Amino acid sequence: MADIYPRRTWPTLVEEEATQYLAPMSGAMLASIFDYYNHLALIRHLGRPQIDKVWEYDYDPITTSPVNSTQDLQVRLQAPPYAAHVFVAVQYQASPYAISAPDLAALGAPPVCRIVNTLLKHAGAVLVDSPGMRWDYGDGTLPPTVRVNGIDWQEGVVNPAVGGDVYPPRWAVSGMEINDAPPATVSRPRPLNVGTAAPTLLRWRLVATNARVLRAVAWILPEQVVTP
Amino acid sequence: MANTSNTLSLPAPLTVLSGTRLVYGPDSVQAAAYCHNWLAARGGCTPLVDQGWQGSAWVWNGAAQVGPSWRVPTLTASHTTVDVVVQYTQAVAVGQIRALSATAGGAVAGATVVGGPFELTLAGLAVASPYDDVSIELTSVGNNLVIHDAYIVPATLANPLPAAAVDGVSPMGVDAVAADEPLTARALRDMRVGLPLLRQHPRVVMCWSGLDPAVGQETLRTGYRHRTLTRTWQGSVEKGVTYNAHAYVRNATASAQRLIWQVGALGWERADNIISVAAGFTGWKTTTITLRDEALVRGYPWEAVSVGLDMGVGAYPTTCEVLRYTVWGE
Repeated sequence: MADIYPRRTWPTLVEEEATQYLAPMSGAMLASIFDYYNHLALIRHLGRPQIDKVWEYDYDPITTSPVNSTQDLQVRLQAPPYAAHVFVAVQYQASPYAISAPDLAALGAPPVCRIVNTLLKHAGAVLVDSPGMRWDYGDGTLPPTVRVNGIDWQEGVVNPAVGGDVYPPRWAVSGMEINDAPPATVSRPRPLNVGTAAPTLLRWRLVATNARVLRAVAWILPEQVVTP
Repeated sequence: MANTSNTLSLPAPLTVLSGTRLVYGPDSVQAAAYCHNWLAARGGCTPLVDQGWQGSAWVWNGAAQVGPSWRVPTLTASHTTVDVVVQYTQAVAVGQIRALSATAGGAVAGATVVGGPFELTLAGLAVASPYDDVSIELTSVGNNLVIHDAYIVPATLANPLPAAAVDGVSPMGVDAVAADEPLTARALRDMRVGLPLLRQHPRVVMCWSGLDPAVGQETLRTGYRHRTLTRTWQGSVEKGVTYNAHAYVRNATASAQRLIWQVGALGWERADNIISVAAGFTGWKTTTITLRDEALVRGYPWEAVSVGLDMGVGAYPTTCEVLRYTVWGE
Protein backbone atom coordinates (compact mmCIF):
# COMPACT_ATOMS: atom_id res chain seq x y z
CA MET A 1 0.00 0.00 0.00
CA ALA A 2 2.93 2.26 -0.53
CA ASP A 3 0.88 4.46 -2.79
CA ILE A 4 -1.36 5.29 0.14
CA TYR A 5 1.07 5.68 2.96
CA PRO A 6 4.68 5.93 1.84
CA ARG A 7 6.84 4.75 4.64
CA ARG A 8 9.33 7.17 6.03
CA THR A 9 12.26 6.36 8.17
CA TRP A 10 10.89 5.42 11.54
CA PRO A 11 11.48 8.04 14.15
CA THR A 12 14.37 8.13 16.49
CA LEU A 13 14.35 9.94 19.75
CA VAL A 14 17.15 12.28 20.71
CA GLU A 15 18.94 11.70 23.95
CA GLU A 16 17.45 13.82 26.67
CA GLU A 17 20.90 14.72 27.89
CA ALA A 18 21.63 16.33 24.56
CA THR A 19 19.21 19.10 25.45
CA GLN A 20 20.56 19.74 28.91
CA TYR A 21 23.96 21.30 28.36
CA LEU A 22 25.25 24.19 26.40
CA ALA A 23 26.16 22.97 22.96
CA PRO A 24 25.35 23.80 19.39
CA MET A 25 22.16 22.05 18.42
CA SER A 26 21.96 20.35 15.08
CA GLY A 27 19.04 20.56 12.76
CA ALA A 28 18.92 16.78 12.75
CA MET A 29 18.01 16.76 16.41
CA LEU A 30 15.10 19.07 15.90
CA ALA A 31 14.09 17.09 12.83
CA SER A 32 14.05 13.92 14.89
CA ILE A 33 11.72 15.55 17.40
CA PHE A 34 9.44 16.66 14.58
CA ASP A 35 9.56 13.20 13.06
CA TYR A 36 8.50 11.73 16.35
CA TYR A 37 5.60 14.13 16.70
CA ASN A 38 4.45 13.14 13.23
CA HIS A 39 4.79 9.47 14.10
CA LEU A 40 2.76 9.86 17.28
CA ALA A 41 0.12 12.03 15.65
CA LEU A 42 -0.36 10.27 12.33
CA ILE A 43 0.28 6.68 13.23
CA ARG A 44 -0.13 6.02 16.90
CA HIS A 45 -2.90 8.44 17.78
CA LEU A 46 -4.81 9.38 14.63
CA GLY A 47 -4.33 5.92 13.18
CA ARG A 48 -5.59 4.08 16.20
CA PRO A 49 -9.29 4.87 16.58
CA GLN A 50 -9.75 1.17 16.46
CA ILE A 51 -13.04 -0.50 17.06
CA ASP A 52 -13.01 -3.96 18.56
CA LYS A 53 -16.69 -4.69 18.77
CA VAL A 54 -18.11 -7.96 20.01
CA TRP A 55 -21.71 -9.07 19.52
CA GLU A 56 -23.41 -11.54 21.76
CA TYR A 57 -26.42 -13.67 21.01
CA ASP A 58 -29.23 -15.22 22.97
CA TYR A 59 -28.15 -18.62 21.66
CA ASP A 60 -24.82 -20.32 21.07
CA PRO A 61 -23.69 -19.09 17.65
CA ILE A 62 -20.96 -21.67 17.42
CA THR A 63 -23.43 -24.52 17.26
CA THR A 64 -26.16 -22.72 15.32
CA SER A 65 -26.12 -22.58 11.56
CA PRO A 66 -25.65 -19.15 10.03
CA VAL A 67 -27.76 -20.25 7.07
CA ASN A 68 -30.94 -18.17 6.88
CA SER A 69 -29.47 -15.73 9.37
CA THR A 70 -29.82 -12.05 8.52
CA GLN A 71 -28.39 -9.08 10.39
CA ASP A 72 -28.37 -5.32 10.12
CA LEU A 73 -25.61 -4.03 12.38
CA GLN A 74 -24.09 -0.62 12.89
CA VAL A 75 -20.76 0.39 14.39
CA ARG A 76 -19.75 3.87 15.51
CA LEU A 77 -16.51 5.20 14.09
CA GLN A 78 -14.70 8.36 15.11
CA ALA A 79 -13.03 10.26 12.31
CA PRO A 80 -10.05 12.23 13.65
CA PRO A 81 -8.37 15.17 11.92
CA TYR A 82 -6.61 14.22 8.69
CA ALA A 83 -8.84 11.16 8.34
CA ALA A 84 -8.60 9.76 4.84
CA HIS A 85 -9.24 6.03 4.81
CA VAL A 86 -11.01 3.37 6.79
CA PHE A 87 -9.90 -0.21 7.08
CA VAL A 88 -12.27 -2.83 8.41
CA ALA A 89 -12.27 -6.50 9.25
CA VAL A 90 -14.97 -8.82 10.49
CA GLN A 91 -14.94 -12.17 12.16
CA TYR A 92 -17.88 -13.95 10.63
CA GLN A 93 -19.55 -17.27 10.22
CA ALA A 94 -20.77 -18.31 6.81
CA SER A 95 -21.30 -21.67 5.29
CA PRO A 96 -23.37 -22.93 2.40
CA TYR A 97 -23.79 -26.22 4.19
CA ALA A 98 -26.83 -26.86 6.30
CA ILE A 99 -26.44 -28.38 9.70
CA SER A 100 -28.23 -31.57 8.68
CA ALA A 101 -28.96 -33.54 5.52
CA PRO A 102 -32.72 -32.74 5.60
CA ASP A 103 -31.92 -29.06 5.94
CA LEU A 104 -29.52 -29.33 3.06
CA ALA A 105 -32.17 -30.98 0.91
CA ALA A 106 -34.70 -28.31 1.80
CA LEU A 107 -32.33 -25.50 0.99
CA GLY A 108 -31.41 -26.83 -2.41
CA ALA A 109 -28.57 -24.94 -4.00
CA PRO A 110 -25.96 -23.57 -1.62
CA PRO A 111 -27.01 -20.11 -0.49
CA VAL A 112 -24.91 -17.08 -1.25
CA CYS A 113 -23.24 -15.76 1.87
CA ARG A 114 -22.96 -12.01 1.86
CA ILE A 115 -21.94 -9.13 4.10
CA VAL A 116 -22.57 -5.73 2.55
CA ASN A 117 -20.76 -2.76 4.06
CA THR A 118 -21.66 0.89 3.82
CA LEU A 119 -20.25 3.92 5.54
CA LEU A 120 -22.73 6.49 6.79
CA LYS A 121 -22.65 9.84 8.43
CA HIS A 122 -23.65 9.43 12.01
CA ALA A 123 -26.78 11.56 11.99
CA GLY A 124 -28.47 10.06 8.97
CA ALA A 125 -28.39 7.72 6.08
CA VAL A 126 -26.18 9.90 3.93
CA LEU A 127 -23.44 7.94 2.30
CA VAL A 128 -20.00 9.35 2.65
CA ASP A 129 -18.89 7.33 -0.29
CA SER A 130 -21.85 6.26 -2.40
CA PRO A 131 -20.51 2.97 -3.83
CA GLY A 132 -20.00 1.73 -0.31
CA MET A 133 -17.45 -0.71 0.91
CA ARG A 134 -17.10 -4.07 -0.73
CA TRP A 135 -15.09 -7.14 -0.11
CA ASP A 136 -13.07 -7.98 -3.14
CA TYR A 137 -15.53 -10.63 -4.27
CA GLY A 138 -18.27 -8.45 -5.63
CA ASP A 139 -21.38 -7.10 -3.97
CA GLY A 140 -20.37 -8.18 -0.53
CA THR A 141 -20.30 -11.86 -1.37
CA LEU A 142 -17.90 -13.63 0.90
CA PRO A 143 -14.95 -15.58 -0.41
CA PRO A 144 -15.95 -18.65 -2.41
CA THR A 145 -13.49 -20.73 -0.47
CA VAL A 146 -16.13 -21.19 2.20
CA ARG A 147 -17.81 -23.53 -0.24
CA VAL A 148 -14.84 -25.81 -0.47
CA ASN A 149 -15.71 -29.29 0.66
CA GLY A 150 -13.14 -29.91 3.29
CA ILE A 151 -12.26 -30.20 6.89
CA ASP A 152 -10.44 -26.95 7.36
CA TRP A 153 -12.03 -26.11 10.66
CA GLN A 154 -10.04 -22.99 11.24
CA GLU A 155 -11.25 -21.57 7.95
CA GLY A 156 -14.86 -21.85 8.91
CA VAL A 157 -15.79 -24.54 6.42
CA VAL A 158 -18.51 -26.70 7.80
CA ASN A 159 -19.43 -29.93 6.13
CA PRO A 160 -21.90 -32.39 7.59
CA ALA A 161 -20.02 -35.19 5.90
CA VAL A 162 -17.10 -34.71 8.27
CA GLY A 163 -19.15 -34.25 11.36
CA GLY A 164 -19.44 -30.52 11.21
CA ASP A 165 -21.94 -29.47 13.78
CA VAL A 166 -20.10 -26.35 14.88
CA TYR A 167 -19.50 -23.17 12.92
CA PRO A 168 -16.09 -21.74 13.72
CA PRO A 169 -15.65 -18.18 12.51
CA ARG A 170 -13.40 -16.90 9.79
CA TRP A 171 -11.81 -13.50 9.39
CA ALA A 172 -12.36 -11.27 6.38
CA VAL A 173 -10.00 -8.34 6.31
CA SER A 174 -10.29 -5.27 4.22
CA GLY A 175 -6.81 -4.06 3.55
CA MET A 176 -6.35 -5.87 0.30
CA GLU A 177 -9.91 -6.92 -0.27
CA ILE A 178 -11.99 -3.82 -0.04
CA ASN A 179 -12.91 -1.73 -3.02
CA ASP A 180 -15.06 1.27 -3.58
CA ALA A 181 -15.87 0.29 -7.15
CA PRO A 182 -16.99 -2.96 -8.79
CA PRO A 183 -14.10 -5.41 -8.90
CA ALA A 184 -14.12 -5.60 -12.67
CA THR A 185 -13.07 -1.99 -12.95
CA VAL A 186 -10.57 -1.92 -10.14
CA SER A 187 -6.94 -1.79 -11.07
CA ARG A 188 -5.70 -2.16 -7.54
CA PRO A 189 -7.32 -2.82 -4.19
CA ARG A 190 -7.56 0.20 -2.02
CA PRO A 191 -9.34 1.26 1.13
CA LEU A 192 -12.41 3.38 1.26
CA ASN A 193 -11.89 7.07 0.90
CA VAL A 194 -13.45 8.88 3.82
CA GLY A 195 -13.06 12.28 2.23
CA THR A 196 -11.35 15.41 3.37
CA ALA A 197 -14.39 16.89 5.04
CA ALA A 198 -14.99 13.85 7.17
CA PRO A 199 -17.49 14.29 9.98
CA THR A 200 -16.25 13.48 13.43
CA LEU A 201 -18.56 10.53 13.84
CA LEU A 202 -19.38 7.90 11.24
CA ARG A 203 -21.36 4.72 11.16
CA TRP A 204 -20.26 1.52 9.54
CA ARG A 205 -23.26 -0.59 8.59
CA LEU A 206 -23.04 -4.31 8.00
CA VAL A 207 -25.92 -6.19 6.43
CA ALA A 208 -25.28 -9.91 6.59
CA THR A 209 -27.23 -12.54 4.66
CA ASN A 210 -26.72 -16.23 5.38
CA ALA A 211 -23.86 -15.07 7.55
CA ARG A 212 -23.35 -13.96 11.12
CA VAL A 213 -20.93 -11.34 12.40
CA LEU A 214 -19.27 -12.04 15.74
CA ARG A 215 -16.67 -9.31 15.89
CA ALA A 216 -15.82 -6.17 13.94
CA VAL A 217 -12.51 -4.34 13.85
CA ALA A 218 -12.02 -0.99 12.20
CA TRP A 219 -9.76 1.97 12.22
CA ILE A 220 -9.58 5.18 10.28
CA LEU A 221 -6.24 6.20 8.92
CA PRO A 222 -4.85 9.51 7.74
CA GLU A 223 -2.96 10.31 4.62
CA GLN A 224 0.67 10.88 5.32
CA VAL A 225 1.05 14.57 6.00
CA VAL A 226 4.46 16.06 6.55
CA THR A 227 3.56 19.70 6.28
CA PRO A 228 1.10 21.61 8.43
CA MET B 1 4.52 31.41 19.79
CA ALA B 2 1.23 31.86 21.49
CA ASN B 3 -0.59 28.88 22.86
CA THR B 4 -3.84 29.72 21.16
CA SER B 5 -4.37 26.93 18.65
CA ASN B 6 -7.20 24.49 19.22
CA THR B 7 -6.45 22.42 16.16
CA LEU B 8 -3.90 19.76 15.40
CA SER B 9 -0.83 21.07 13.63
CA LEU B 10 1.95 18.90 12.36
CA PRO B 11 5.59 19.97 12.30
CA ALA B 12 7.44 19.63 9.03
CA PRO B 13 10.70 17.71 9.40
CA LEU B 14 11.68 18.48 5.83
CA THR B 15 12.06 22.15 6.64
CA VAL B 16 14.83 21.38 9.10
CA LEU B 17 18.31 21.13 7.65
CA SER B 18 20.79 18.70 9.11
CA GLY B 19 24.12 19.96 10.28
CA THR B 20 25.70 21.73 13.15
CA ARG B 21 23.99 25.00 12.38
CA LEU B 22 20.36 25.05 13.37
CA VAL B 23 18.14 26.26 10.61
CA TYR B 24 14.45 25.82 11.15
CA GLY B 25 11.16 27.46 10.41
CA PRO B 26 9.52 28.98 13.46
CA ASP B 27 6.19 27.76 12.19
CA SER B 28 7.38 24.18 12.53
CA VAL B 29 8.41 24.67 16.13
CA GLN B 30 5.05 26.22 16.81
CA ALA B 31 3.31 23.33 15.09
CA ALA B 32 5.29 20.85 17.16
CA ALA B 33 4.22 22.56 20.35
CA TYR B 34 0.61 22.69 19.21
CA CYS B 35 0.84 19.03 18.27
CA HIS B 36 2.15 18.24 21.74
CA ASN B 37 -0.72 20.04 23.39
CA TRP B 38 -3.34 18.51 21.11
CA LEU B 39 -2.01 15.01 21.72
CA ALA B 40 -1.97 15.61 25.46
CA ALA B 41 -5.58 16.82 25.48
CA ARG B 42 -7.20 14.64 22.83
CA GLY B 43 -4.77 12.02 21.61
CA GLY B 44 -5.97 8.55 22.41
CA CYS B 45 -9.54 9.52 23.25
CA THR B 46 -10.78 6.54 21.29
CA PRO B 47 -13.27 3.87 22.33
CA LEU B 48 -12.41 1.82 25.39
CA VAL B 49 -15.40 -0.49 25.04
CA ASP B 50 -17.73 -1.37 22.17
CA GLN B 51 -20.04 -4.28 22.76
CA GLY B 52 -23.36 -5.31 21.26
CA TRP B 53 -26.17 -7.69 22.23
CA GLN B 54 -28.35 -9.19 19.54
CA GLY B 55 -31.99 -10.14 20.01
CA SER B 56 -32.82 -10.72 23.64
CA ALA B 57 -29.25 -11.34 24.76
CA TRP B 58 -29.56 -8.48 27.29
CA VAL B 59 -33.13 -7.79 28.36
CA TRP B 60 -33.97 -6.64 31.87
CA ASN B 61 -37.29 -6.45 33.70
CA GLY B 62 -36.89 -5.75 37.40
CA ALA B 63 -35.26 -3.64 40.10
CA ALA B 64 -31.86 -2.03 39.71
CA GLN B 65 -29.36 -4.58 38.46
CA VAL B 66 -25.84 -4.29 37.06
CA GLY B 67 -25.28 -6.04 33.74
CA PRO B 68 -21.72 -6.00 32.39
CA SER B 69 -18.67 -4.50 34.08
CA TRP B 70 -15.62 -3.56 32.03
CA ARG B 71 -12.09 -2.83 33.26
CA VAL B 72 -10.89 0.23 31.36
CA PRO B 73 -7.69 2.28 31.55
CA THR B 74 -7.52 6.04 31.99
CA LEU B 75 -5.31 7.85 29.50
CA THR B 76 -3.63 10.06 32.08
CA ALA B 77 -4.27 11.16 35.64
CA SER B 78 -6.06 14.17 34.15
CA HIS B 79 -8.44 12.25 31.91
CA THR B 80 -10.80 11.48 34.74
CA THR B 81 -14.15 11.16 33.01
CA VAL B 82 -15.65 8.94 30.34
CA ASP B 83 -18.79 9.12 28.26
CA VAL B 84 -21.01 6.05 28.11
CA VAL B 85 -23.26 5.67 25.07
CA VAL B 86 -26.08 3.11 25.25
CA GLN B 87 -28.52 2.10 22.52
CA TYR B 88 -31.78 0.74 23.90
CA THR B 89 -35.44 -0.04 23.22
CA GLN B 90 -38.33 -0.10 25.69
CA ALA B 91 -42.10 -0.25 25.38
CA VAL B 92 -43.09 1.78 28.45
CA ALA B 93 -41.14 4.66 29.98
CA VAL B 94 -40.34 3.01 33.27
CA GLY B 95 -36.71 2.28 32.75
CA GLN B 96 -33.54 3.92 33.94
CA ILE B 97 -30.01 3.40 32.72
CA ARG B 98 -27.06 4.31 34.92
CA ALA B 99 -23.32 4.13 34.42
CA LEU B 100 -21.19 3.40 37.48
CA SER B 101 -17.50 3.35 38.23
CA ALA B 102 -16.13 1.13 40.96
CA THR B 103 -13.38 3.17 42.56
CA ALA B 104 -14.27 6.78 41.85
CA GLY B 105 -17.85 6.23 42.94
CA GLY B 106 -19.39 8.30 40.19
CA ALA B 107 -22.83 7.59 38.88
CA VAL B 108 -24.84 9.14 36.08
CA ALA B 109 -28.55 8.63 35.74
CA GLY B 110 -30.22 8.49 32.38
CA ALA B 111 -33.96 8.77 31.91
CA THR B 112 -35.16 6.73 29.00
CA VAL B 113 -38.03 7.31 26.66
CA VAL B 114 -40.46 4.99 24.96
CA GLY B 115 -39.67 3.26 21.72
CA GLY B 116 -36.37 2.81 20.07
CA PRO B 117 -33.79 2.01 19.35
CA PHE B 118 -32.59 5.24 20.92
CA GLU B 119 -29.09 6.38 21.69
CA LEU B 120 -28.50 7.71 25.18
CA THR B 121 -25.22 9.39 26.18
CA LEU B 122 -24.30 9.31 29.85
CA ALA B 123 -21.61 11.98 29.92
CA GLY B 124 -18.99 12.77 32.50
CA LEU B 125 -18.72 9.57 34.51
CA ALA B 126 -15.79 9.97 36.92
CA VAL B 127 -13.17 7.22 36.75
CA ALA B 128 -10.05 6.58 38.77
CA SER B 129 -6.50 6.34 37.45
CA PRO B 130 -4.76 4.24 36.23
CA TYR B 131 -7.82 2.09 35.58
CA ASP B 132 -11.34 1.58 36.79
CA ASP B 133 -14.24 -0.83 36.49
CA VAL B 134 -17.16 0.74 34.64
CA SER B 135 -20.55 -0.96 34.72
CA ILE B 136 -24.06 -0.31 33.45
CA GLU B 137 -27.08 -0.71 35.70
CA LEU B 138 -30.66 -1.09 34.49
CA THR B 139 -33.94 -0.49 36.29
CA SER B 140 -37.15 -1.46 34.55
CA VAL B 141 -39.96 -2.79 36.71
CA GLY B 142 -42.85 -4.26 34.81
CA ASN B 143 -41.56 -3.81 31.29
CA ASN B 144 -38.67 -5.04 29.26
CA LEU B 145 -35.68 -2.80 28.69
CA VAL B 146 -33.59 -4.08 25.80
CA ILE B 147 -29.97 -3.01 25.41
CA HIS B 148 -28.46 -3.23 21.93
CA ASP B 149 -25.07 -1.57 22.23
CA ALA B 150 -22.76 0.00 24.79
CA TYR B 151 -19.85 2.24 23.92
CA ILE B 152 -17.40 3.93 26.33
CA VAL B 153 -14.98 6.65 25.29
CA PRO B 154 -12.72 8.97 27.36
CA ALA B 155 -13.83 12.59 27.53
CA THR B 156 -11.34 14.96 25.93
CA LEU B 157 -9.71 17.79 27.84
CA ALA B 158 -10.08 21.45 27.01
CA ASN B 159 -8.02 22.60 24.07
CA PRO B 160 -5.87 24.78 23.81
CA LEU B 161 -4.36 23.05 26.75
CA PRO B 162 -1.73 24.02 29.25
CA ALA B 163 0.07 20.75 28.63
CA ALA B 164 1.59 20.69 32.09
CA ALA B 165 -1.89 19.94 33.36
CA VAL B 166 -1.64 16.47 31.87
CA ASP B 167 1.90 15.22 31.87
CA GLY B 168 3.85 17.86 33.76
CA VAL B 169 5.73 18.73 30.61
CA SER B 170 4.93 21.98 28.89
CA PRO B 171 6.73 23.03 25.75
CA MET B 172 4.30 25.88 25.43
CA GLY B 173 4.39 26.82 29.05
CA VAL B 174 1.77 26.29 31.69
CA ASP B 175 -0.09 29.39 30.61
CA ALA B 176 -0.71 30.72 27.17
CA VAL B 177 1.96 33.06 25.84
CA ALA B 178 0.60 36.24 24.36
CA ALA B 179 3.44 36.98 21.99
CA ASP B 180 6.20 35.13 20.18
CA GLU B 181 9.20 34.27 22.33
CA PRO B 182 12.64 32.89 21.51
CA LEU B 183 12.97 29.14 21.33
CA THR B 184 14.56 27.95 24.54
CA ALA B 185 16.54 24.86 25.36
CA ARG B 186 13.96 24.19 28.05
CA ALA B 187 11.20 23.99 25.48
CA LEU B 188 13.18 21.44 23.49
CA ARG B 189 13.88 19.46 26.62
CA ASP B 190 10.21 19.44 27.52
CA MET B 191 9.38 18.18 24.06
CA ARG B 192 11.96 15.44 24.39
CA VAL B 193 10.74 14.39 27.81
CA GLY B 194 7.09 14.65 26.87
CA LEU B 195 7.18 12.53 23.74
CA PRO B 196 7.46 9.15 25.50
CA LEU B 197 4.68 10.20 27.88
CA LEU B 198 2.40 11.01 24.97
CA ARG B 199 3.34 7.72 23.35
CA GLN B 200 2.14 5.76 26.34
CA HIS B 201 -1.47 6.90 26.39
CA PRO B 202 -3.15 3.51 26.64
CA ARG B 203 -5.11 2.09 23.75
CA VAL B 204 -7.50 -0.78 24.26
CA VAL B 205 -6.91 -3.77 22.03
CA MET B 206 -9.81 -5.84 23.31
CA CYS B 207 -12.33 -5.49 26.13
CA TRP B 208 -15.32 -7.68 26.94
CA SER B 209 -17.61 -8.36 29.86
CA GLY B 210 -20.25 -10.96 30.43
CA LEU B 211 -23.51 -10.08 32.12
CA ASP B 212 -24.04 -10.44 35.84
CA PRO B 213 -25.51 -13.78 37.01
CA ALA B 214 -28.82 -12.11 37.84
CA VAL B 215 -29.20 -11.15 34.20
CA GLY B 216 -27.83 -14.35 32.80
CA GLN B 217 -24.20 -14.96 33.61
CA GLU B 218 -22.02 -15.35 30.60
CA THR B 219 -18.58 -16.83 30.50
CA LEU B 220 -16.34 -17.27 27.51
CA ARG B 221 -17.18 -20.33 25.54
CA THR B 222 -14.63 -23.07 26.11
CA GLY B 223 -13.11 -25.13 23.34
CA TYR B 224 -12.73 -22.01 21.27
CA ARG B 225 -10.28 -19.16 20.58
CA HIS B 226 -11.55 -15.65 21.29
CA ARG B 227 -9.29 -13.35 19.37
CA THR B 228 -9.03 -10.06 17.59
CA LEU B 229 -6.69 -8.27 15.21
CA THR B 230 -4.66 -5.25 16.08
CA ARG B 231 -1.90 -3.14 14.68
CA THR B 232 1.67 -3.22 15.92
CA TRP B 233 4.10 -0.34 15.92
CA GLN B 234 6.85 -1.47 13.66
CA GLY B 235 10.37 -0.33 14.34
CA SER B 236 9.56 2.22 16.99
CA VAL B 237 10.60 0.22 20.00
CA GLU B 238 13.04 -2.64 19.96
CA LYS B 239 11.70 -6.07 20.86
CA GLY B 240 8.09 -5.03 20.71
CA VAL B 241 5.68 -3.11 22.88
CA THR B 242 4.32 -4.49 26.13
CA TYR B 243 0.59 -4.54 26.88
CA ASN B 244 -1.32 -5.42 30.03
CA ALA B 245 -3.83 -8.24 29.97
CA HIS B 246 -6.48 -8.65 32.67
CA ALA B 247 -8.99 -11.46 33.01
CA TYR B 248 -11.58 -12.02 35.71
CA VAL B 249 -11.61 -15.77 36.14
CA ARG B 250 -13.31 -18.43 38.20
CA ASN B 251 -11.94 -21.89 38.71
CA ALA B 252 -14.67 -23.93 40.35
CA THR B 253 -12.84 -27.19 39.89
CA ALA B 254 -10.66 -29.03 42.37
CA SER B 255 -7.54 -28.76 40.25
CA ALA B 256 -5.40 -25.94 38.90
CA GLN B 257 -6.30 -24.68 35.44
CA ARG B 258 -4.44 -22.70 32.84
CA LEU B 259 -5.41 -19.51 31.12
CA ILE B 260 -3.58 -18.92 27.85
CA TRP B 261 -3.15 -15.59 26.11
CA GLN B 262 -2.02 -16.07 22.56
CA VAL B 263 -0.22 -13.55 20.42
CA GLY B 264 0.83 -14.08 16.84
CA ALA B 265 -0.42 -14.47 13.34
CA LEU B 266 -3.71 -16.18 12.63
CA GLY B 267 -3.29 -19.90 12.43
CA TRP B 268 -0.12 -20.29 14.45
CA GLU B 269 -0.72 -18.45 17.68
CA ARG B 270 2.09 -18.66 20.14
CA ALA B 271 1.07 -19.94 23.54
CA ASP B 272 3.64 -17.95 25.41
CA ASN B 273 1.46 -16.26 28.02
CA ILE B 274 0.24 -18.96 30.36
CA ILE B 275 -1.37 -18.07 33.68
CA SER B 276 -2.00 -20.67 36.34
CA VAL B 277 -5.36 -20.43 38.11
CA ALA B 278 -5.49 -22.27 41.44
CA ALA B 279 -8.39 -24.52 42.40
CA GLY B 280 -11.27 -22.51 43.82
CA PHE B 281 -9.80 -19.18 42.74
CA THR B 282 -12.11 -16.34 41.71
CA GLY B 283 -10.72 -12.92 40.85
CA TRP B 284 -8.55 -10.95 38.46
CA LYS B 285 -5.47 -12.45 36.84
CA THR B 286 -3.05 -10.18 35.05
CA THR B 287 -0.05 -10.60 32.82
CA THR B 288 1.85 -8.72 30.17
CA ILE B 289 1.79 -9.39 26.46
CA THR B 290 4.46 -8.20 24.07
CA LEU B 291 3.25 -7.29 20.61
CA ARG B 292 6.12 -7.71 18.20
CA ASP B 293 6.11 -6.86 14.54
CA GLU B 294 4.29 -9.64 12.81
CA ALA B 295 3.04 -8.42 9.44
CA LEU B 296 1.64 -11.86 8.83
CA VAL B 297 -2.09 -11.24 8.67
CA ARG B 298 -3.07 -11.43 5.05
CA GLY B 299 -4.70 -8.36 3.71
CA TYR B 300 -3.37 -5.84 6.15
CA PRO B 301 -1.09 -3.20 4.70
CA TRP B 302 0.60 -2.66 8.02
CA GLU B 303 2.08 -4.82 10.68
CA ALA B 304 -0.72 -6.59 12.47
CA VAL B 305 -1.04 -9.30 15.02
CA SER B 306 -3.71 -11.59 16.42
CA VAL B 307 -4.35 -11.42 20.16
CA GLY B 308 -6.74 -13.54 22.10
CA LEU B 309 -7.65 -16.04 24.75
CA ASP B 310 -7.36 -19.72 24.00
CA MET B 311 -10.20 -21.35 25.90
CA GLY B 312 -9.05 -24.91 25.63
CA VAL B 313 -8.33 -25.70 22.02
CA GLY B 314 -6.30 -28.78 21.13
CA ALA B 315 -3.53 -29.49 23.60
CA TYR B 316 -4.65 -26.97 26.18
CA PRO B 317 -7.96 -28.12 27.63
CA THR B 318 -9.39 -25.94 30.35
CA THR B 319 -12.49 -25.62 32.42
CA CYS B 320 -11.48 -22.24 33.80
CA GLU B 321 -14.28 -19.72 33.42
CA VAL B 322 -13.53 -16.21 32.13
CA LEU B 323 -16.14 -13.60 33.01
CA ARG B 324 -14.36 -10.47 31.78
CA TYR B 325 -11.15 -9.64 29.97
CA THR B 326 -9.26 -6.67 28.61
CA VAL B 327 -5.93 -5.90 26.96
CA TRP B 328 -4.47 -2.42 26.83
CA GLY B 329 -1.15 -0.73 26.24
CA GLU B 330 0.46 2.07 24.28
